[in-house]
Amino acid sequence: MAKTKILFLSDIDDKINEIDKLLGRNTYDLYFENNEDDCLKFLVEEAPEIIIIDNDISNIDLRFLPKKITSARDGIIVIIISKDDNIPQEILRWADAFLVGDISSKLLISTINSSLRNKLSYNLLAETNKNNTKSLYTLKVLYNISSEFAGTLEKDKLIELMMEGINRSLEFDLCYVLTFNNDNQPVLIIHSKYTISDELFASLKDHACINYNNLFKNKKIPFELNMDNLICEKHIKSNIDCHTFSIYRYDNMFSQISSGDNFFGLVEIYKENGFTSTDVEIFRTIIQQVSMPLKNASLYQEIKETNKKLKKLEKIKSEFISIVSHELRTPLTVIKGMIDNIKRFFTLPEKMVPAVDTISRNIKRLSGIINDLLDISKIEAGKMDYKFAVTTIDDTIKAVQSTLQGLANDKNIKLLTDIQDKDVKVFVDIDRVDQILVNLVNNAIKFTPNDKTITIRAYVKDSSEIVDKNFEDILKNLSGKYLVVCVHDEGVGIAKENLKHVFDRFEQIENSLTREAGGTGLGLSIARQLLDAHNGAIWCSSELEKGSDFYFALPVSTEKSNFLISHKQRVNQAKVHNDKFASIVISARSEVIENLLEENNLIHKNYLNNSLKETDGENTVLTLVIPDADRNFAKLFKQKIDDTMVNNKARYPKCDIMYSYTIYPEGIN
Amino acid sequence: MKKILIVDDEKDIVETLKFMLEASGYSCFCAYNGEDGLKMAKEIIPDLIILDVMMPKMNGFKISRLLKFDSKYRDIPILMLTARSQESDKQIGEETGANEYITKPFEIDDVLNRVAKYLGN
Repeated sequence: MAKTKILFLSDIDDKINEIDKLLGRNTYDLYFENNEDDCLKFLVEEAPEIIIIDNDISNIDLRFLPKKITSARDGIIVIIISKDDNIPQEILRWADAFLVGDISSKLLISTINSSLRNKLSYNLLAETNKNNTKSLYTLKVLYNISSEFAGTLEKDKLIELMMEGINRSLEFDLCYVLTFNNDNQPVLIIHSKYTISDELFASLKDHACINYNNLFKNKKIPFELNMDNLICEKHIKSNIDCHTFSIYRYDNMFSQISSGDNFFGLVEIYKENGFTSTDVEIFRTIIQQVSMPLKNASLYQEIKETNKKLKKLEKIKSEFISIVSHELRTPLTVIKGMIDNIKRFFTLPEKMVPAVDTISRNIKRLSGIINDLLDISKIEAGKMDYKFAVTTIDDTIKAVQSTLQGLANDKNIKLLTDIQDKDVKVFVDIDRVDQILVNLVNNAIKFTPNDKTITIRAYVKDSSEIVDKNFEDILKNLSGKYLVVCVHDEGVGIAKENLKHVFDRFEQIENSLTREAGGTGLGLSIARQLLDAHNGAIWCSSELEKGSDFYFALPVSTEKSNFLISHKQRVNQAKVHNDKFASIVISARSEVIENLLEENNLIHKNYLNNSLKETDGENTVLTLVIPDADRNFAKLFKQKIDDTMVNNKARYPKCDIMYSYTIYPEGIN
Repeated sequence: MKKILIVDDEKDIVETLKFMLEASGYSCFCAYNGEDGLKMAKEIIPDLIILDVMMPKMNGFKISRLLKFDSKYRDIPILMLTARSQESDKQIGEETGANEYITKPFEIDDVLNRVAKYLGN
């Protein structure tokens, strides 16, 4: 162990000899100086741990010494010896220990030891404190990047954050990451403290590539690495210096970035000063932390791509169906027209009549299928035009009865109607209601044996009275009063396990019974979607061999229910046409709303065309629909209302008003 | 004999209509695109026109509009033919002055009844 270096500053020979004797050269490295200049020079050059100063020195003014010694060697232990108590204030405040009068060897040595020990523990504390501060900083960096990792699902951004985090906590000289972008192209990202020589840059590329291949020596490599495709990114912090091959002599750390079977890339960092064991931990932690979000990011990317493909397929399918159906229509029109011409303008041989009738019937069937396909493709593309109007539907029910009477007569089926609430109004596209009802009655006729009865009933029910445990999930969404139409038959019925699926698309094709009866099985699915647009519902109950009841419910027309139906249609059309609109809800005491409505230039008359005013007790809620409006408009509109109320206190004395808005279709700005 | 002009780019549809109309005692003239249709309408001045909507060169709406805004031809009844999926056509058709609107595939009785409504039996 090295001896403790002690400098004794004195110009009194007796004292020098005394100290020399007291301490002994074997225990300490003892040096002597007798003037200020040599002393300061010694302090700088030899860096002793302790200085013993003789207070009785005659050639130095001790009052100025503390500053000089501290600047020559900060943190040195200072011991003062003095023959009397006459010590300057400056020295008193500065020195670590004093020995006054005759000095014994034991006292001097113990003073030196205790001072050394104090110094040691101070240094230890300071070191611990420094480490703690550094750990705290690193922890903070780790915490920050981990929360940043959580905030993104983009691979590039995550890699960027990772490099930034490593740099902030480890302060590397150079770092590169080799990764693969969404098109599986290799990307080399280099972050460097200084510029990089061309040779080093070329070498780093090879180096990264070799490292990558080494990782998968005997295994299948996850991505083909083609150096010609390598995309390079360089981020240089400062150009005051240039890294060359000497970087390879620096301390380095290397890791692959992966999670389970997913490989995302590799990272290597270089640092001149070398890494501590804590640095290694931090490096590992950061890489580990980024792997999980990288995995999520790649899953997210996959989902996004799949979703895009699915949407495209769906569109292609819809367009295909639409085009094919249109193309089929022309030849069908010709076939149908010509067969009708033949039947009408020629007298056919008796034996030929059934054949021509069969052709006619099948043309009709084909025409129905094409119409169904066109409807479903239009509904799915959101392109179905609804012409909603407030109306009663008893005429439609009667019309359907008389249209299908002929078909029923063929099987000697009695087709009855029982309309209880004739005058009840609903907000519907009456052509669609007709389509739904025709479909249901047609089905009923198909599945009912000869000589039975089919009844169409219509009545009003409250949503609370509309219950069917097989269709709970649909019926629970209903609220308020509904006009229910029920088609009751005495047909073959539907097995319980099939009940829920009869409204699924193409369901009946699976069902051999229906194949016999004909039809695409799209009819009920179309009916369900049409009713959905009406905020209604369709469901059924049945008992095998006894018969079936098919029900559909339409909301009884009220200002609110009609508004909600229009709203649904508006949202749908906005989606199809890439439009947007704002729905603004203002709630306040009724007279406040009335006053606001009367204000000039506040609420444009056109806005009221699609508005809803609900009054409940003293309060009124006004919902306005503003076409082509965005968030800014909605905010400005609120400002205008606020200003109006502030500027006109006589009309609006201190009142509460609630305001909210939504931009549709939801999710756009 | 009453004269009917049929304009449709689908020849077989024209044939089908011609067949039923001639069998019912009308005299038929045919055009297979919009331009020819308009030209023939002006030359022949038929008693009624059956007009397809979707046609090359000039669509049915345009022909209908041009005829209905000209006092010489304004009184010629126009029957528009269109596909079922193009119901918005009906509205435009009415705006351009078409008198009737028939969807494909059509019922022969329906066509004949509507023709008779304007031309008598």
